[in-house]
Amino acid sequence: MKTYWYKIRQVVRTGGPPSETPRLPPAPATYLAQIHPEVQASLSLRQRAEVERVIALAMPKPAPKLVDLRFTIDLLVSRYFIVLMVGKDRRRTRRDVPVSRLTKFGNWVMAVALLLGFNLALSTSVVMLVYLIKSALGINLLPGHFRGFGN
Amino acid sequence: MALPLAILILGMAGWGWWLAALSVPPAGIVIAGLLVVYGLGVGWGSVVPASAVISVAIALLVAFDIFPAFWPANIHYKYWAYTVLVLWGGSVAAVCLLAKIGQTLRQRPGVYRWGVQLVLATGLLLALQTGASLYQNHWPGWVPWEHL
Repeated sequence: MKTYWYKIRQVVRTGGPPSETPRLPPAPATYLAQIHPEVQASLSLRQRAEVERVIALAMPKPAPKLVDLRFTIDLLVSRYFIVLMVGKDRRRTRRDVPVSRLTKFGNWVMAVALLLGFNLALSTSVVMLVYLIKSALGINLLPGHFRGFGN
Repeated sequence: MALPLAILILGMAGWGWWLAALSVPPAGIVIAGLLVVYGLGVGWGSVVPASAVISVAIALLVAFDIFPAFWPANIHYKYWAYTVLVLWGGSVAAVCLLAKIGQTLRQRPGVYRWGVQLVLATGLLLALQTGASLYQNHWPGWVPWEHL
């Protein structure tokens, strides 16, 4: 019984049975296999097929994304993941996630700060790369070479 | 794993040589050493922060027009721009290689992982030190050291 509940917790946590292999999207059969063996045995083939069909209906179907960028940043004290997704919005109903005003404000502040930070870092790198490529090609846009700040 | 490791050791020696050539203060050398340990310990999660540190270092090099002592004053700036581009690309590649090896080690059992990480980190830091020593001992010979 203990093993049975452990398996249930694993499925809830990871969406699949405990395994060393990389996580795959769970199939309806994965959830069906978690039904108690006694109950499973009592199901007829038709009932089983019907339950499987309803589970398949309830499972989210990920839409193809135009951009699907995921990476992790490990800052030793904590590990963060960053996900950037762009895709067609097929949602018909409004997303209804109740959040307090303070949480909403905090989310906005953090999102703007992160976006500004990434923008600044990326822009600086792009400008520097373009400047170096321009210089490597021997193009001098301004008379007199820029010898750096303080020179 | 032998080839990436050999490339990484050469890369670390290169880092050491250039850090010495650019007369980087001790804090910069400590940061380079910490990057090595961080990349080995953390794996792929280190790529973004470590690349940011590399880019900041390159930005400082460009913004303050820092040249190594042996760089001739009368040579066209484009050659320095090539060199900086190669240094930037090479350093980011080294960071990715370090992260790849670190990630491979993270999947190994605890005691084995710690042992290999310790040996590798020591070896790479020694390679860094060797690179700096080579510069201080006037290597390679084609650099006109006597005119510096």
